[in-house]
Amino acid sequence: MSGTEGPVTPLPRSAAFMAGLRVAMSVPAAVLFATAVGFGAMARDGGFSFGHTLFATATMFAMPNQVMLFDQLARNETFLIVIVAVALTAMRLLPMTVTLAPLLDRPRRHLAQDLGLSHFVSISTWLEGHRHLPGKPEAERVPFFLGLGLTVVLTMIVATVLGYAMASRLPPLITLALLFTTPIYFFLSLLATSRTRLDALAIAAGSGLIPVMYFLVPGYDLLATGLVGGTAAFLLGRSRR
Amino acid sequence: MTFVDDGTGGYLTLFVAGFLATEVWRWMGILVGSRLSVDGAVFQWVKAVATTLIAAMVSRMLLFPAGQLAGVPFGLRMGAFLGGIAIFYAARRNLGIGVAGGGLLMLAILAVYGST
Repeated sequence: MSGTEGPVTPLPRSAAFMAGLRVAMSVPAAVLFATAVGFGAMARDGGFSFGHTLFATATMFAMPNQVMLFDQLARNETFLIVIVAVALTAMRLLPMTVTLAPLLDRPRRHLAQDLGLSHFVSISTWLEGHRHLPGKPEAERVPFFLGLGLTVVLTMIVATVLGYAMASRLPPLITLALLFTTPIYFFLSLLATSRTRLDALAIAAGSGLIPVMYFLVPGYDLLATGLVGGTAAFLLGRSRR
Repeated sequence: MTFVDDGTGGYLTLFVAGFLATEVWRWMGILVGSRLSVDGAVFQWVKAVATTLIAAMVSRMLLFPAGQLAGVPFGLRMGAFLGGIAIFYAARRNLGIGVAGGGLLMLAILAVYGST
């Protein structure tokens, strides 16, 4: 018995947690950090309190949704419009959670734990989870994902606080440049992750329709663009495949 | 902003329209789990609508900004934005270089034109 064929002894939970923490620090951390700094600056620019800003990052942990929520509220949109816009933007978390959950707990044994862990599903943790979890022994996976998720959340909180604090202290020119990085980051990350014809059509539909809808259906411009443009992109992108 | 008048200083609004509107999809992902096919038409539509919404949100932030960016003339905002996209492609679709390049371009444009 050489022992090389047997199952690998899993790392202790604390070591697996630390492995997740290290992965979180090595993720495109600079870009994530800069996005959250931009969000903090944007929140202050929009007139939100420090508490509001911190609350959003800690409870939502989904940057596109946070920007959507704050941009809509800063424009004084009605509550119904705001909640629908945020919910539609957040729908993408459903398929992401569906594909990640089996790596953490299958067959389902710990429902409460899974619901808690699902808070840490975001684009960055989903990508790193899919990259690292399948190669790990099952006992290591939950502490690893917890280490990854908690570290990214805490990093985002620190960056948000920094951005909020900086926005009032920096020279106005630099604050403007910082505010500008938020839209450019989200647009470029859409381009960077666009792989299919459907993605490209959706980006074009969103950018092209919003100026029309802005004047045509003020207040409902974003929802109209998302639903009409997204559905059109879906139909065109599917039928021409 | 009017949302702060919800009786809780705005936190109830943030909790419902921010936290719940987001978290409910994660919970549903756990609860419905593998009973859904992620390659199916429904999820493709979900992805298309979410992508369109984010593209629309970004374009609206640039075309009709809500905050301080409104003080930057339209031509300068669009120039820096398109320049950032060009830098992104010139750097072989490197996200970090594209974002930093766009921000620095905006800074350079503002420094030259001194809009504030």
